[in-house]
Order: sequence, then structure tokens, then C-alpha cells
Amino acid sequence: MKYSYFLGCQVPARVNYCELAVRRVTKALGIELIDLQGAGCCGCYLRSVDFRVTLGLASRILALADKQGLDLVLLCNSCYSTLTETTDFLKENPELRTETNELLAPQDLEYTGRTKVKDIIQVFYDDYGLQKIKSKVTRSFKGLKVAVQYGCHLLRPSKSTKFDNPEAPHILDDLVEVTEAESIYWPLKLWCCGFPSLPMNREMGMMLARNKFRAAKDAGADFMVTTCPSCQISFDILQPSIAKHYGEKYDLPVLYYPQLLGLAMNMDYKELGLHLNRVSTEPILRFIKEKRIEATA
Amino acid sequence: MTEETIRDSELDPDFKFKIAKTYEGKTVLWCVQCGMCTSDCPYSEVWDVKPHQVIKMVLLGMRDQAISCQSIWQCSTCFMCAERCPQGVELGRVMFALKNIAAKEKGVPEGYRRFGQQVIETGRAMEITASREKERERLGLPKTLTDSKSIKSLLKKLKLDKLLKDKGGKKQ
Ligand code: SF4
Ligand code: SF4
Repeated sequence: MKYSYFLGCQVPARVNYCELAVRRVTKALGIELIDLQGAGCCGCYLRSVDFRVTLGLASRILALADKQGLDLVLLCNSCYSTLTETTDFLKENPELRTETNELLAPQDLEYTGRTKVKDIIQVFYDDYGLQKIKSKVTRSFKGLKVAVQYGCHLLRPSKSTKFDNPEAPHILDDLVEVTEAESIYWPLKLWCCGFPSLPMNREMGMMLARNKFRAAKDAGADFMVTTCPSCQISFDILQPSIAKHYGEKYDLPVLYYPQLLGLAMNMDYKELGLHLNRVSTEPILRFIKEKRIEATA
Repeated sequence: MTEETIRDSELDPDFKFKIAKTYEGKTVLWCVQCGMCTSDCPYSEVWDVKPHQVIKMVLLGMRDQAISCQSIWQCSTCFMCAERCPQGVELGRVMFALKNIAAKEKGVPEGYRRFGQQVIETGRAMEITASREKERERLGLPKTLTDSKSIKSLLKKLKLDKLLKDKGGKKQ
């Protein structure tokens, strides 16, 4: 299994541990990722400013992947919806496609529509396969409760993202439950983490994250699992400052899914960057340690 | 919505058609004002202008109010509204259409201006600081190589630099 691999802006700027976990876990599973050379911003940040700027930047990424001739794998939900929506805009509007290809031609690039865009979660679930993933799991998290966060831009707009049932998704729940941890019901599961609102109104963005912390805790979650680097920033990197802002305490560890999968495959926590998560992942590591003692006793 | 008298003479009855002609706003005319979007938007409780009211402004031709309201910029782009709209109105996208017009006419807000500059200069929306690059090295992650020159020339053709510089005040 071989893919083009595009990192996006968010990960190297804020959450290198997401990438570390993806590289280690895919390597262990025998999934090969070839870095998409020369790629930059997918354009999502500038969609509010100018539709055509986003279209141009996103098409450039798609055209670079076309050239490499492999399906394109992403880590970031924002990149995923931007690139899947752009694919639809270009498919539905032939004049946009002509205009875009004129823009890309001087760079010796062309959007052909060949490339399939996939999130890393789809690679695990669809391409590698849930059962096969399950067969790689050697460490059980039975007894732990997880609040899963899909993130908006895998699920919506579903017409373009075509990821899962947008009202009752199960892919991430299933992937979490191969570790025997329980994916719990929690009321705000499908809601936004607030990240996209932060640049214009920090308070509003933080409000959404806070609502989610409280809902997850009320539902009895031991930790959260996300699929999205932006959610990861909102929930993990910003959790201490959100807690301080509201005078509250959440202490809710937040794992990026490949980190959990790696742990379940018996990989070392440092290989998966758990020591780099902002909110201490100690409770999860302690659980593993106690289990080990139990097993040998 | 704040209470004020709406005068016929201040309305732009063609505005809804202009929005409907944009790629992002083409579904706006299908709205029946049922309010489903507002009941599902995570910001409904705190916004002065609720999601369905933004659409109503467009439909009524309240052009200035629609492109001046804070809701369009605070929208988290979560697309819950669009997903659940019984009429197929892609409200989250309509918000983008309105922001594009606001950016052109009133200037790009500071937060986005910074992202724009960053992409022009580095090819990326977020700076990778030296300490982040070092962390990557320590972790054995490859160097991030961006073809910033190609991206810059593409953005030049799309006139992003000009858009970021203009402080607005021009009518479309
Ligand atoms: S849910 Fe759709 S039809 Fe109903 S008010 Fe909102 S945009 Fe209009
Ligand atoms: S996309 Fe914007 S308007 Fe629609 S539900 Fe989300 S925050 Fe509200």
C-alpha cells in the first residue's frame, strides 16, 4: 500500500506528535507514505477572503498529487474538506476547471481529476481494513471510556466529504473499540471544536471547546480521541488556557487516533509522541502499567 | 436582530440574485425560513443575527447589514446548518460568499490578513518556528519543504496581495 502524503500547515506548526504517530504506525502496518514535494497551504484559511484563492491553492495540491499518480492521504480534516469540496467544484463547473488549469499550466501542472483524496482514518478503516487492524492489536484498553471526536470537516458537508453517515457516524467508534476501550455516547459528539472561530473571536472558539469538555466529562469519559489536528489543538494544546479562562479544571487527556492505535499495537509511548501532548497522558500510561502488573501477577 | 425600521429605498432587491450567482451562494434562494439551521448552530444562543436571519437579510436585500454582521465572520464553518437544512441551502457556503464580498469592499480583517501574508511569504498559513523545526529533527521527521516561489507566483496571479492591501471602500 502506497500513497502520496500531504501534511498541511497545522501539523508541523503546532502538533508534530500527530505526524510522528502516523509515521510510526503506518510503518509498522506496512503502509508506505511518499511525501508530496513542494506542497504548501491547501487554501482553507483563505476561503473567507477569496473563493478563487482557495480554489487555486487547493487545485495545486490536487494537481501535484495527480502528477505523482498515487491516492493522496491527509491528516487534517480541514485539508480533507477543502480538497474534496474543491474536487466537486471543479467537477460540477467545467469553466472553473478550464480557468484553474490555465492558472496551473505555467507550473507544468494540470488538474485531471484522477487523484482520490483520503483521510488517514479511511486508509485504516477501508483500505487496510478494520479486521486486519484488529488482528494487530495486542494491548487491551478494556475498562476505559472514550469520547470520540470526528471533527466537522470529515463529516460535513457530507455531499462532498462522503466519509460516513453524518448524523450517526461509526467509523472512528469502531476503530477505537478494536482496542476494547468503550466509545461512549456523549451529547456534543458531532459538534465543532471551535478552532476555526479562533482567529476572529477567541472567546467564541474557546466557548465551543469548553462545552465539549464538560459534555465529555459529564458522560464519564476517561479521555478523548480525535481524528483532526485542529481539534487536537483546541482540545489538547489549548486546554490549559481554556481551563484557566473559565476558572475550571478538565484534566482530560486527548489522543490523536493513531496514538491510541500505536499504543494498542504495543508500541512505546515516546515513539508515538505521547510525551509531547500538552495535557498529561499519564492516566492512560498508568492504566497500561497497572494492566501489565495485573497480567504478570 | 436589532430592531430598526427597514426602508424600501435602502434595500437592494437584486442582492439575493447576486449571491445566487456565486459558486458558494447558489442555494440561497431555496430557503423557506424554517429556522432549522438556527436550532442546530452552536452559536445561535450568542449571536445577535442568527443563521436564518443572515439568509433573511440576503433575501430581503439588506445588503449592508448582511455583509456587516459579525455572525458571518464568527461562523465556525462547521456546516451543521447545511447538513440539516430541509431545503438543501448550503448556509455555511453562503457565509463564505458574504465574507468574500465583505473582504473586497470593507477590507480583509486583520486575523485573515496575517494568514494571507504568511501564505504569500512562506507558502504556508502557519509559521513553522525554528523550535518546531528542531523538534521535527529530534523526532526524526523530515524537513518541511515548501515550494514557496511557485505558490507566490500563483497568488500574484490571483491578486491576493492587492486584496490584502486594499482597505475597502470600493463598491463591486
Ligand atoms: S434550515 Fe434552510 S430553509 Fe430553514 S431557515 Fe435555515 S437555510 Fe432556510
Ligand atoms: S456553519 Fe456557521 S452558521 Fe452554520 S451551523 Fe456552523 S457556525 Fe452556525
